[in-house]
Amino acid sequence: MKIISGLITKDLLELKSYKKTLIVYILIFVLTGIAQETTKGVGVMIAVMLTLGFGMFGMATFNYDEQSKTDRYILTFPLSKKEILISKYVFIISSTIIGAIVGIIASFLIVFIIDKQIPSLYDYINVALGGIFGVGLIEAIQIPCVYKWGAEKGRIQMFIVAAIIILLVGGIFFVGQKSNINFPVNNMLNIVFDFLPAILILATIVIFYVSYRVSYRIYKNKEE
Amino acid sequence: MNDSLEVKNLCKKYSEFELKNINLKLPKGMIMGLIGENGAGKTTTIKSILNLINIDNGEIKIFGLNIKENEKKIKEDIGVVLDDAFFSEYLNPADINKIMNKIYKNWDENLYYRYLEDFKLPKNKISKEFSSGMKMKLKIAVALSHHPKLLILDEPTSGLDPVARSEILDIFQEFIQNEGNSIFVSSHITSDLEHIADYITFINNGEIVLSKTRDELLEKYGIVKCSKSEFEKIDKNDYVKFKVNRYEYDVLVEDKAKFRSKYEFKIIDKPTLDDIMLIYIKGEK
Amino acid sequence: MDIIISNSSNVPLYEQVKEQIKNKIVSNELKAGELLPSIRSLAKDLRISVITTKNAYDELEREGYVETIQGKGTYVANKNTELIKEEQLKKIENLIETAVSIAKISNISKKEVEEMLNILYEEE
Repeated sequence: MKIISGLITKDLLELKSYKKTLIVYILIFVLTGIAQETTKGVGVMIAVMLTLGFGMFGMATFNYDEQSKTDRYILTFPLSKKEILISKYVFIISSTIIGAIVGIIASFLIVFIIDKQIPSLYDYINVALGGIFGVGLIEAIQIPCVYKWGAEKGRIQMFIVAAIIILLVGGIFFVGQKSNINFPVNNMLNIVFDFLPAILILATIVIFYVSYRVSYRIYKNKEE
Repeated sequence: MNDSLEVKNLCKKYSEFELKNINLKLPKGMIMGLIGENGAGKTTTIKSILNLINIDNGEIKIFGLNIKENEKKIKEDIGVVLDDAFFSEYLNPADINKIMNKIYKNWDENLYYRYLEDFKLPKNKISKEFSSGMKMKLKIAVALSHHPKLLILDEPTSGLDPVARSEILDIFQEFIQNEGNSIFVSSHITSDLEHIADYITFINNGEIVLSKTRDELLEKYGIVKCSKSEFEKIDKNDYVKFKVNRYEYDVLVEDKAKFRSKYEFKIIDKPTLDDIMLIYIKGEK
Repeated sequence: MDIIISNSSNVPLYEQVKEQIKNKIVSNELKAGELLPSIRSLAKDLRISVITTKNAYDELEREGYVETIQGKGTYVANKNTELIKEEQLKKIENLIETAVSIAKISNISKKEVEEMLNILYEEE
């Protein structure tokens, strides 16, 4: 446990120097959110974008490690590859969850300022979990890719995936708002919606578990 | 357990390079220098010793224990400096202390800060702003601060000026004042190792060419300088290799005293490691 | 204690160390019972390898100049004055032998050599 916390400390300290870039990123994401037309859109976008921003921030430690070949260096320490992997997953999942929490608080405040009324908490929990699931899905795909091909190529993929998600989410909201379409399968969706938090939590756990297993397989035999 | 490090029949094959049957032994309390050209296999040997790569054949023992079976236990007691791999340059020495405190059971914060002071390294400056000599000293300070018994260093002096190199050699000799401590160090700058290394292992083209004590190598070996006609009188069994220069033949002999008793040659020089390396690599038999 | 190591000399490093310590013992600069620096600290101070220093100490011990007490260190041995004198005489004899043979080849008389010897002695 102590070793894992040591590795997480390393990741945190590496990000310390990344502060300015982080703030710029988050501002861009928040601005993307504020650009939405409805208050609800603004709230949701800010929450999701901050989750994504923090998650990407966690992923950025891979680039640091690759640049200075820290991944090779830390293998000379008394630790196992399993501990390295666990520390990375814990760090990235935590930063995503922290992003979601920060996102919810920020969007709560912004929506409150715009609408002058307290938004529904239930909606927000769903949005946060949805955000974590979505960002988690990107990360869960990304991490094994980084172990397989390295962070440099991984970063390019990460931007592509992130851009596609932003456009998709933004586009759906945009179209949804413009056309006011009512989904025909409303009843079924309502059932799903009742269990949504549980489904999202479960799905997130499953994708990260699968991702971890895949990463372990790749990393175990990787030569530094 | 009298050997700190033992490599037995190590083989590792890549598509374009191969380590062939590497054998070496570093007795406790000693410094072994691994010398050879760039690309001769020094780094691959070190990576194999540290279990960073999967070897095809052979066995690595550190403190008498197999590295594969006792990796964590062994790594608690070794300090490693790799050529180009370290913490991010955006970390400062104080940051590194926070991390290492949690990594090594024996991490000694006071010792680490004492080294930083001795080496004149600022605690709160990111290492990106350090000179290459300072960076290396930081790496060595980190490698020394958990009281390791074996230091493994890959090219610690390359790219450094003579003053910094000399300081690093001092650190090495200070480290082995404790006779339980040993150093395994690779370098292509042979003059650094010529005096302080107890053992010299010479690797060329993925193979160990020789592995001997410094005194055996540098005090016993000799380079006979002679003309072509003189050279032709030398028995093939009496020399190791020779190299044809423009005006003379350089002939490497294993025991210059013995050679002197058999032949009458005027010039038999005491070789440097560079001379020996050069004749081995470029010479013929 | 001064020990001067020459890297360009053809004399092996361990022999340079050995000879200089030996001279200090013979000249009484190092006295019987005196503790010599440990192998490792001398190696460090001279910037030479531990094995080189150990070789020098081993030879000194073999020749009876020093004694090593396990776990304590290396001391200057109680001098066997006879032995040292004998060894020094042998050295002198060798050198004189060379001098004499040169004298004989070049027809220089014994008297002339003796004179030279006397002058050299008085110069001291």
